[in-house]
Amino acid sequence: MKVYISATLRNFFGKNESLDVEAANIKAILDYLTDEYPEAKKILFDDSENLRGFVQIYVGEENKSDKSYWKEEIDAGEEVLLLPAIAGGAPVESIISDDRRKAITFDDKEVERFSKHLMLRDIGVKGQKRIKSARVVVVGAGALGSPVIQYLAAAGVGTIKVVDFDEVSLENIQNQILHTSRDIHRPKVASARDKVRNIDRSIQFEDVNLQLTADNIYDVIDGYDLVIDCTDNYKSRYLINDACVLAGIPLIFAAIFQFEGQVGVFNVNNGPCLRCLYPKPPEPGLVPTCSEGGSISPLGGIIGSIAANEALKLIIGIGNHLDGQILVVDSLYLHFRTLNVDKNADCPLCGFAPTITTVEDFDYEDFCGLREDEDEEPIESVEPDELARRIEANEPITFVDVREPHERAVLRFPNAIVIPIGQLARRKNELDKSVDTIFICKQGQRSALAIRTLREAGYDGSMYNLKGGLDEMKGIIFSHEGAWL
Amino acid sequence: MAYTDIQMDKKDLQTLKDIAVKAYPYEACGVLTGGEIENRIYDIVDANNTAALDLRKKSFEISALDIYRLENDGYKPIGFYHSHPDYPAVLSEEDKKHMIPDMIYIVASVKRTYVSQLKGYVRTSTDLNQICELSIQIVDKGGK
Repeated sequence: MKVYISATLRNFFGKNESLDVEAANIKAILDYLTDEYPEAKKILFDDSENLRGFVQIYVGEENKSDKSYWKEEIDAGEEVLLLPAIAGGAPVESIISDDRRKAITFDDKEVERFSKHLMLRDIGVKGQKRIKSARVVVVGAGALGSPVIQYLAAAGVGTIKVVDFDEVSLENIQNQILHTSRDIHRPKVASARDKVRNIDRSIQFEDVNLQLTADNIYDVIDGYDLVIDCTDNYKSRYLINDACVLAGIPLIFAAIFQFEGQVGVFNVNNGPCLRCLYPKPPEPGLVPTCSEGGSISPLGGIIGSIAANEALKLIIGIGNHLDGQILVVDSLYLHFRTLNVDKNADCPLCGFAPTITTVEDFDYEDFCGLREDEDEEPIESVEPDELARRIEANEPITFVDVREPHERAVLRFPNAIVIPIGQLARRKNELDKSVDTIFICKQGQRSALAIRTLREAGYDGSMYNLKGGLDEMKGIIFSHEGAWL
Repeated sequence: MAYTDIQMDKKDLQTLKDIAVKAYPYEACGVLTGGEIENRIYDIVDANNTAALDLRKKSFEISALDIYRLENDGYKPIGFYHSHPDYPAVLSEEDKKHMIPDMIYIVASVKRTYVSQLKGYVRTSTDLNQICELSIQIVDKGGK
């Protein structure tokens, strides 16, 4: 029977293009070839006698490389082809270098602790060493940070830094499973530290109890391998994204809102960044954060667990990542969708002609619209304690509440007219121009927008914005309960 | 065994780059064909990436039967090339596994609009665990 030898393999078979071999099956052909050309044996087979990855055997048009075909009888008229297998792929590489991995050792206790990782072929000792040498920053110790921090600690990540400026409050307990009722009024990073210590005292844990700004973010993320964004607001997300791109640190992005969550991987292998997807944040105040919009308890656990899983895969260098993709999870109807995020050549941060080159020069307050436009007529505002004084003095005031129904259900503001922003212009006649009108919302952003909307609609009564919104009123104590009610 | 540098002319280099950019964000792949002079590329033959579509951004595959047909048409494959979109021109484990000893392999790192890095490699037939980098020389067209 005729055996064709591809030009790519011919050098190992006396440069013969084809050979006539007396054999009934592939096994016999291979035996003949390796007898005749002993040098070819190590080319065709590896040390375990398996066919090398770059060799394929065809009979006619059919691939018969698998050993199970080798004893099948072949018709003498068929041609057997010895062909190359040409394939490959971009490397899935760990974000932890081999040198750092090699510097790690385990004691007996660690071998026992991580045995379930060690028995996985794709993780094993090498992968676990990478996990131990990894240095990860988690920004936000809330709903998303809770599972992320705990899983990273349980998985054996050697160095974990948690950044959060906030204190635990009662409403946090519903979905921030790091914290318990005993942690109320403690810094969130403190309960994170306690939890991590209880999991594994050998973890290098660093708690950073501050709000990230353009001035301090570099110091916070410098020298770390990976940043996981578990924050709940656009200002932080863009700040973290920009700093990570400029510092060349991979970023895992996670976000939750009501019943929906998103998770993605940015800035890995020259991949896209958050600005490739959304060059600018949405209009200020219009998209409520998770703390304003609410979210179902386990959602942070679902999304945060996926984020922690992505982190471990990046550290070990296995599997497919959400690199250049956003996974969108709808927990209400159980839809999981993956959206592709292409790298944007015009991205102001990671494109070909970046306009953002340093995080310091960038005005986030301005970018996110948190600063008032100087060209616009300024909005008069009233401080919370000033408002409290006026309420106690029984001054005539019209209150307009522009919050969403679910927000009003959580925190009632008595004696207020409820007008959604969209209906303001149409319902402006409900307002009394002879008394001051004070607009309220949760944080004082949407109420400012409401005043602008009414001004544009031609309303000329005196309007004030409650500065900082109802969040700022929480600390006010009235001299008698009746004043507030 | 000492390996000679890869030699190719400017036009072929440009063809290779164009193919890689055109295929972006997917991996491009093809065959380097030669003739009498060792490691001198005579022609670049673009090949279909037959990997599954969802894997094509990160991997490539050339049908073995396409190689067979190419050889029947009189071409002499001396190596293969493929691109790594948005990734350095280094060999992955998967790439290494499929390297035929003494064949030359060119890997192009491609960004959206240009090729940023081009590297040549060979797996030695004397020691199959050894992979050497080969430099790529651009030569005048007359040298074929």
